[in-house]
Amino acid sequence: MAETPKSGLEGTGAQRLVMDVGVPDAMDWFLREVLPLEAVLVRYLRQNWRDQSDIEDLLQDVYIRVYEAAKRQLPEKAKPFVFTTARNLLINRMRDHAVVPIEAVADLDALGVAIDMPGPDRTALARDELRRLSEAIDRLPPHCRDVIVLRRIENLSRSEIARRLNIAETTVSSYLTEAIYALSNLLNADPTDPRVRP
Amino acid sequence: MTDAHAINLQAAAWVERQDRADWSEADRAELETWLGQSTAHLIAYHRMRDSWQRSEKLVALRTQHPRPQSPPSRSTGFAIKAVAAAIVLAVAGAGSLFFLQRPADRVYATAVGEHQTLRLSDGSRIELNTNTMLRVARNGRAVVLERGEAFFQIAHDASRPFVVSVGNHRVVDLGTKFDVRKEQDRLEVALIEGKARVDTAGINPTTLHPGDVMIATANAVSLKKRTQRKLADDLGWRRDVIVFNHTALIAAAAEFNRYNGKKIVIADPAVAQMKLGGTFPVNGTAQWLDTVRDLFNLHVEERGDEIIVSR
Repeated sequence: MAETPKSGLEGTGAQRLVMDVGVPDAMDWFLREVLPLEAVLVRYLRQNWRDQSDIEDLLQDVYIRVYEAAKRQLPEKAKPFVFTTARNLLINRMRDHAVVPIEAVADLDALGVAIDMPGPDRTALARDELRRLSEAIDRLPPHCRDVIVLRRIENLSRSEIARRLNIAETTVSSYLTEAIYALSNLLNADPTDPRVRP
Repeated sequence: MTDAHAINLQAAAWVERQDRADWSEADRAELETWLGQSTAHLIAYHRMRDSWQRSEKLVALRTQHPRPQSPPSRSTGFAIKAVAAAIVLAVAGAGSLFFLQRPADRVYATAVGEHQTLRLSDGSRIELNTNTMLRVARNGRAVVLERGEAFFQIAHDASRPFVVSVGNHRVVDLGTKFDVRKEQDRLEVALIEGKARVDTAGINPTTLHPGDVMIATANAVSLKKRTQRKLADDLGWRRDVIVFNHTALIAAAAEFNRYNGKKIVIADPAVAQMKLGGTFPVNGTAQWLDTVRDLFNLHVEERGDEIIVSR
């Protein structure tokens, strides 16, 4: 194996560019058009599904269906497509269950409301990005916040972080993994809505 | 049903691994295999990676360390020199490690051109001007202004004084409305209403009354009087306007530059000293440039990130 690069090279992007995985076209569309809808989508799923512990699975299923369809052909409008997919998925799931909650079906018919809800304003999102990020960081559990602050703001390597916090480097990695997971939920869901907080 | 949670955690672990210094070609191949196993893997990975890449912008929160300063001249008073040293030390020491030392603090930041209002639970209001960063302690009665400008309208509570710290200065509210503006090497505290006390290491506390403006630079601390009219003009940003009154173009340009990524540059000293008045929206740079161009018959040209004003 080639000589291990110095820790200082972490995150410089120089060597990462060479050894990166590609982003398929459909994924590019997905990240741009579908991911910004996550806050509204999660709220819709929560409102229409009783068992809140299923939400992460439901979200994944919606995403898989949307992505598979986009691979064949990109939908013209992301939002109606995503919510129609979500609705169909919920109906199928309810059929699979022995008891169909009646109020859930009634709510599902109010789908139009969800589609008409204002989507994220892209300019506002860009302008508020730093604030959203720092608020998300603020909400992380302390051990996650410490490592991500040192990695992202102070730009320290894992070994430097380990020394600074007096923990093992493998612990730094596992805290960072936890932080990345938590961040993906905090950044995509609407942080002002308590119902969508992870 | 697939276990989305487990897949998401694996995806996060991949993104973490990819950020390590020892990420290799073999790792990449292994990741490709994992991604090829299912669409769920592919989506989870790109979703995690998107968040991680977005977090790169956090580096903007890194406190800028001041450039080394030349020592104050011998003629300045001893106490004042002590103050200057204290300010520089405090700013240099206040890095983002605050996050670690005081995890209960909440951080609020505005981007260039942004204007936000913060309401605290005790009814106090804090308005953040462009490019500002503020930390609020958990008890809501102590804040640190890291950079930029903020206007404070404080619900007075004699038993729990409200304290704003900037470097080694502490502004203690005695029932007030006041504005604090921090620049690279200059601090300005303007008292609009009520009373406040400024505690600074090395000199006696100063009590500010309405119209008082305390200005601290690396070399000196001074107290000035401003009319209510001038103070109101200075606080135009709260209404998203900038008010000029016989203001030199160079000063007006500096003011607009606080709100924009594109910077106005005036090299010609004669042009720099031309004077103009008027009220402009904070995002009205173009409008202001049109006005000065027509009024003084000047030349305005965009070059990359700069807007050059010349004759």
